Amino acid sequence: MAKEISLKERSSARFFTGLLFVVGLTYAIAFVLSLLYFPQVRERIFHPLSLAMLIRALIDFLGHGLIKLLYLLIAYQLFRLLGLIKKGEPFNQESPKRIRRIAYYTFGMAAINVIMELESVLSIAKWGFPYWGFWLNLIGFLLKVSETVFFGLGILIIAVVLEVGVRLQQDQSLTV
Amino acid sequence: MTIEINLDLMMVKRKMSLTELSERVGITMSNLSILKQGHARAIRFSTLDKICEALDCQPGDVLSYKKER
Repeated sequence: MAKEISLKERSSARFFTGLLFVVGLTYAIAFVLSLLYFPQVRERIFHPLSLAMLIRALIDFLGHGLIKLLYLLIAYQLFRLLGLIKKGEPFNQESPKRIRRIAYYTFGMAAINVIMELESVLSIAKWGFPYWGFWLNLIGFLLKVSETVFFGLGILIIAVVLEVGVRLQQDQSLTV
Repeated sequence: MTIEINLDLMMVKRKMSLTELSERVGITMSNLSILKQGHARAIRFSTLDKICEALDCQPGDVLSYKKER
């Protein structure tokens, strides 16, 4: 059955599209301004491109774009959660689902970070594994990823606890 | 659910309306209809006690077990 889109959902979707547009516009303006005021950036842009640089730039662009998109999706879920709390229904079936989604988006961010950082970690590996910079970079990379994963796990635990709470509340309200 | 509620049958037998039963048992009409329609997840012994008292019956007259196939 097709879900009817309410006016509130439509207005929040419009708000987030607008936000996305503003973020994109800010990036474009920052890019143009950096070209105008920092000539060294201009020189770097017109460097002869190698395939490795192009792939690196593409990975960076896609990775950062996806992370920004996930941030927006998390903001959207938080926005809807606040709406539920405002309505006075924090213990309904929808809120654990939304918190669970936030956890999955956080895991997604960790996965994107892994893909993005793995390339830089491996690029140092060519100097040899005993090289101290490799281990330093690897430890930094693992710490960065595990930070996000632990954060996601914490959110997931909150979602599971809330799910149990909702079930208990339903049991209580359906006990005659 | 495999536990069936035969409350409406007992109410017909005793010629008692839902309003009267809810007044006698002391639970709200909405809770009584949740029970009657089989949507309830649990029933308190105190409620069952009052229902049996009001309908002058045994718990087995109100509740029955039906094996699922």
